[in-house]
Amino acid sequence: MELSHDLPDSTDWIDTSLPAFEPLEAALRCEVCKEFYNNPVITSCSHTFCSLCIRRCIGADGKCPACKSACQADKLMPNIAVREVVTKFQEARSKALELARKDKEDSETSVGARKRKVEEAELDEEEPVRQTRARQTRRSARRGETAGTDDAPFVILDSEEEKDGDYLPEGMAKCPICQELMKAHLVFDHVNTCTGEPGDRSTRSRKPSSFPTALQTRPKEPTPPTSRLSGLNYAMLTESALKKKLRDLGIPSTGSKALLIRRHQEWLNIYNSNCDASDAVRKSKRELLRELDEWERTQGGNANTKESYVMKKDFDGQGHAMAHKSQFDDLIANARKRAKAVQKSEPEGKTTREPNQEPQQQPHVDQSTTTQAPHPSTAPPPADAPAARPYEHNESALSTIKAKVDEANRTDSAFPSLSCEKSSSNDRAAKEAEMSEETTLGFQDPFRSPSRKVPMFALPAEPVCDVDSSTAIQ
Amino acid sequence: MSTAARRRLMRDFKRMQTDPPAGVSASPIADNVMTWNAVIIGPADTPFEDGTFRLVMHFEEAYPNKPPGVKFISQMFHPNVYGTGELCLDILQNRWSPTYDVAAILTSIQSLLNDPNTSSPANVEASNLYKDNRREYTKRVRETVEKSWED
Repeated sequence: MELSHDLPDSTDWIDTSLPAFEPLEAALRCEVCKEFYNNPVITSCSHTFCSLCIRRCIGADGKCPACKSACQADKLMPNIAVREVVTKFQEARSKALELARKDKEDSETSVGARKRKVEEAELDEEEPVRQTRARQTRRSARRGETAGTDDAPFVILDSEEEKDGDYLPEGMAKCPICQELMKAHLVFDHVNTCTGEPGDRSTRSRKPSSFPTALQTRPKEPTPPTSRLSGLNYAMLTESALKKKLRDLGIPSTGSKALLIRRHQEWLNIYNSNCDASDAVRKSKRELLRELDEWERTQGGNANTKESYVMKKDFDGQGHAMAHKSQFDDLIANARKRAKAVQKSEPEGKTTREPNQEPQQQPHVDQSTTTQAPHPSTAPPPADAPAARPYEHNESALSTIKAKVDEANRTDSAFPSLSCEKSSSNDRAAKEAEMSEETTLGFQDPFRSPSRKVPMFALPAEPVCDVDSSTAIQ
Repeated sequence: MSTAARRRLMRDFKRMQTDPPAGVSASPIADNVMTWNAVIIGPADTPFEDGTFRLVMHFEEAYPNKPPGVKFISQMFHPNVYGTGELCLDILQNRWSPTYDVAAILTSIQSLLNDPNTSSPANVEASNLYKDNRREYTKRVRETVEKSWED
């Protein structure tokens, strides 16, 4: 519990004066691991993930986790722009968050003080974010700094760091690479030949240079990126040949063929994602082997494969509920509290959503036989309602329907087509019609069911939307 | 030992606290971050309204590349919940995406409560009643709701 509070997360911004930073930070985090992008790569469907995350996903099902379109590991390209944004954002984050939190606290404690200036207070409620900025600007102005613009917190961060050593005598300038002080007109010539000094790279990344970015030489990758390993056709390799391949790669070669394959795949993931890393953070093979070892202990040959007691068939749910009673009580209290809070804050949200569904269903329940209420979602055959017992004496129709049903049952599809569903419902309805006089209800419902199917088929799409929107908010 | 799965679960937990979805709640058990207890409050204006349904979730080290195992430990009457409490929910099986987190799973289950999928029922009786005799279905659901308060 304590641990989770130290974990920097996009949701940290929610309770500050800059809640708009929450979706901003969420956009800088990988959708899979929810961490800041680590070695971000872009897929052929233009989604960005950590290199290791997307490689593992592709290994699992070959699909992009965001859009589920087919994805290939060898089509991944490093997304350098995102990498840079993430690095810079992380550098600026803690200070900005601190200010935003403090600002929120200040505005909460100074409610009384604000009453003195009524107009200001009104403005505050209308446009909290803008007011926040203004206040930050005022604070930075108080500290004797140039008035900030939109990114006031960042300006503070930088200028505080170099309050001392940043004085430039007139006509002098600093080389953006080695930071050496020289006459301004000499700098351009110097830059062309400047080799930089060891250790200067980090200084350069922290301190803003006096040169516009366009004039800075881009740091070239000094060593060419290591070439990625390519996959193997495991089906074509015998176990011993595969073992030899693993030995050649310098990774453990013990275990069954299935384990060898999984280990090789994981090694490709680890190794190739390291190739997508920027030069500054590229790991040594030794570190990669340590990561593989962790995989071995948790998911590979040394993993504890014992099924969790929770998922066993004979798991005692009641006993578990009793054993964790206090935890469940807390959870219930929490969930209830929030459910109520939401109902209070957006009562119209519920009422507007519900009617959309209800009117479609209710007419069928209430009006029983008489009508076939206009049904927008699908088109139940127009003949349905008028022919209340269409098949009762119609043996030929019955037999064709039965044949269709049999066919539908034979094709072992998890998602039978709508037409199959319809015919099977009709068939059951027809049977019921034969059996009893009280067919009206039985009739009505099966006809309803095909139309109900549509929202049900649509259901799988829903969670995806949920996640999209929730991550967008987070 | 902090693995990718454990780090991700700690983050899921943090998000459940800092950005909690309405009507659901979950936390890891005291000694194991891989096993969670969860509660879903039955959504308003449904037969499940106000039910306090308890669940248990189990995550593997392959999470989030593999979905967790999720089961109800409260007694349920729902077309897509087996007698054992296990769920038949596509996003926990073939439509799982590693982008889902605990909050997304629980809100999906919450919305499944009032929007069952009767094309592949796990509880045939519930599915048939849902289709053919909604009044009886509602009655049976209300019984489980009342039972959920006593647990």
